[in-house]
Amino acid sequence: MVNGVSAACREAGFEEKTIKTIFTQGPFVGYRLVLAVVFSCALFTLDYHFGRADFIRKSLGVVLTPIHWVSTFPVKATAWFHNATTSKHELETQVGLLESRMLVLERKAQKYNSVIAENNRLRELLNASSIVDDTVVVAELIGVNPDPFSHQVVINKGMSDGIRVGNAVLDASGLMGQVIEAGEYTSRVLLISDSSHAVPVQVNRNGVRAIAYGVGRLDEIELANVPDTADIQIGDLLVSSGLGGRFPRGYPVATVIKVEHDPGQPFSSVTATPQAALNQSRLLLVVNRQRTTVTDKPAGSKP
Amino acid sequence: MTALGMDWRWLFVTCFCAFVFSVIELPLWLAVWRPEWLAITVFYWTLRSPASVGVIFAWWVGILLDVLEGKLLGVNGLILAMTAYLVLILQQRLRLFPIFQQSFMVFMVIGVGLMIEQLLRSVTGHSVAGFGYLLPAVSSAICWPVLSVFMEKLLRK
Repeated sequence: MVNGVSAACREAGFEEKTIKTIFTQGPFVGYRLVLAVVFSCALFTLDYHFGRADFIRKSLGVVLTPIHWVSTFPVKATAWFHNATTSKHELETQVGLLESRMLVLERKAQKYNSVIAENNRLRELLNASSIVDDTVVVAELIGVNPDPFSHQVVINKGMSDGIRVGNAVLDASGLMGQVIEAGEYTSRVLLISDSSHAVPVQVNRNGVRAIAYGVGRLDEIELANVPDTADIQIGDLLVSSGLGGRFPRGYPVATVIKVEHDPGQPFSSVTATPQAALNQSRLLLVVNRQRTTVTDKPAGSKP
Repeated sequence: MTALGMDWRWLFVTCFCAFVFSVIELPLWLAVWRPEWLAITVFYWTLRSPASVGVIFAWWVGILLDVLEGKLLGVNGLILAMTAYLVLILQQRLRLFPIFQQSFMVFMVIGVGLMIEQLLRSVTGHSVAGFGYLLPAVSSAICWPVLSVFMEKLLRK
């Protein structure tokens, strides 16, 4: 009955809804636009200036996965069609080519095994570094802690990329810090210059061990409790010693720039400047340490 | 544009298709001509049922498009909200226009959106030289009559 009435109204062009629809949004449209502009600007700022909009991207990205999936369908279909219509002769030629290529690669692989074994022996002779297979994740810096007294940065990789708390972070020239907080998609890194950070190091020239702690300035770190007799000179390269069990050994940390021997003090004061460009690097490497040795090492050798 | 009824199912389907066409792989010479599918969709639905589809809906769809295209968050939100706004204030005239005049308005409205995008790009430091960025508005205007008639046929059923 009601339907009949409304249908009659519609035919007559007098339906209330029809008239309403034209004006319903009328008076508020301007306000809505202002609202949309304000929200958009807020999102720009969040995304462009602070790089903190990642969680929005990630959560909405999950919803949008089917669209990506559907949009790759034509490419897949074309590939499938191409495969399905390739002639037998073409396939035979292709298989022949691949077989000959495989032979070449197999020969190379045989050589590779012996080369790896030889390399391991030489490494042991040189005592250059232990045979630890570090896996590396490349991360991008997406944020800096706004507090000037706390040296922390945020990177765009997290637990989902295999990053764990305690992983070492490097840039192209040296050690930068360690992961102190691993989120699902981002992580927070404490830099070696932070006043709460310390890293075990050794002098690359002669192996003298020390602890380098941050003093809250980006361009210098200090060595703690260095005996007056220790052989540390200006220009010495300090590398991570790996003794704390947290950092992998052998990565450059800092260069000594000042050594002061004060007879009134029990220890000499040594200042070094970090190798890594702590306030410049945007691309960082996160070293995910795995205690797996290379499988092809020669029998009887010890890492 | 006589039927003012709203069908959420079709709205969803057309938006989904628009999303897919927005990210589907195209060769470069064709990609510069890729119509602004989502802007056309928002244009169409806002014109068709201004009571249900409007600025806020367009903004949300735009945010989804930003995430999908990996653009700066909020760019497409702003543009589509602006598109919906322009259609809403013009809709009573647009309804009376013949289809080719509507097509011209599509070119104008989407062109305005593309100019806003260009402005934002220049603010963030990667602007595109020349007027090539307006090509999608041309292709959108060309697509409009076809899509409009097609949708009318589809929804009349």
